[in-house]
Amino acid sequence: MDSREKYLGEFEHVVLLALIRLNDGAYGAAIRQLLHDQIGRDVAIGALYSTLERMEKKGLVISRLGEATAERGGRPKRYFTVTATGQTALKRARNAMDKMWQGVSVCSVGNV
Amino acid sequence: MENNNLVHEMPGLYYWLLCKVIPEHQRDFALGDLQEEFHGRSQQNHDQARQWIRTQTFRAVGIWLEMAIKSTGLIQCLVFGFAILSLPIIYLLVIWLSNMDETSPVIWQQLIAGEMHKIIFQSEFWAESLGIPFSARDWHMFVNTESLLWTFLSITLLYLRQHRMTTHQLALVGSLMMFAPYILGLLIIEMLQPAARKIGPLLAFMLFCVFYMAIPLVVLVFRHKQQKMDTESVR
Repeated sequence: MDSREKYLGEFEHVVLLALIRLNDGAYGAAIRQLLHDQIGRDVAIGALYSTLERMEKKGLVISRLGEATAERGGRPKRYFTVTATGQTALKRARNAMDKMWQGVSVCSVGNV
Repeated sequence: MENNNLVHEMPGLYYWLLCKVIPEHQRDFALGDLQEEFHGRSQQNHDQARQWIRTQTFRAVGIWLEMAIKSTGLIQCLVFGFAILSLPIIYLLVIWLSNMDETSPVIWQQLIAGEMHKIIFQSEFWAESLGIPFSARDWHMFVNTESLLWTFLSITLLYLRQHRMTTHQLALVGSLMMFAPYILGLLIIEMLQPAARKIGPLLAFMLFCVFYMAIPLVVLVFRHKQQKMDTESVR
């Protein structure tokens, strides 16, 4: 595997988790809403799509076109799904974080 | 009472701005998402929804600017910045030169040496040029055939050769062509020491080449970059 694909950025990590949580309903507005509700992060739509497209190029997610509704001005949704590669990257990121957190207490961080 | 069946369209100005700054390949989905959220928020509180879409638009413009600066690189930004700065300065230099009867000895020495870049740092220049009334500013002052010809030839050459160059090279070569008359003029004055009355046309050529070329060069460079980005996104 290419070395740059081994590690997820923090935002990529969060977005991948959002996609898994939303399951089949992961499109731009829903992802933004979830990130806002869960972690209080108000993401610009351009930044979100740039990240999703970057992850799609890396093979971490795939997208498909969805329905167009009147509330959307007749524009289609673009649904995103995490691929097997994306899931592997997530597990790797979690393992790395778990290992790094071992033996670390937040109270003692300042003393390390 | 609020009609829930009514679709709340986002304000036209924000829609127009968003269309301009969101990349074409993302536009349909991103605008759809924003429209959907705007509609949902408008049903709760229309004023807050307008405030929200305004914030989203400014953020989209911010991202677009950031991307433009990152992708166009330092040289292109310098060309853009120089063009923005140079136009009003050259405008003032031209009306000042066209209306000047006498000036301080220091400025006069710099003038006959062709050192316009030094004159703009003299406070007398700014005081004198800004004090010239609008009635003394004629558009004929801004016509210089030789510079127009140089600009036309340079821009045509750059336009024809741009496909063989990177944006960085285009900006660099364009800047050299824009400044060449100025540098050449300085060298001619330095080496030949022409009489003061012969320096006027040379100064005009030195200044107007920059004046005429700045905007076309910026447009050429930014269009070139846009074309390259579009080609890369298609791949």
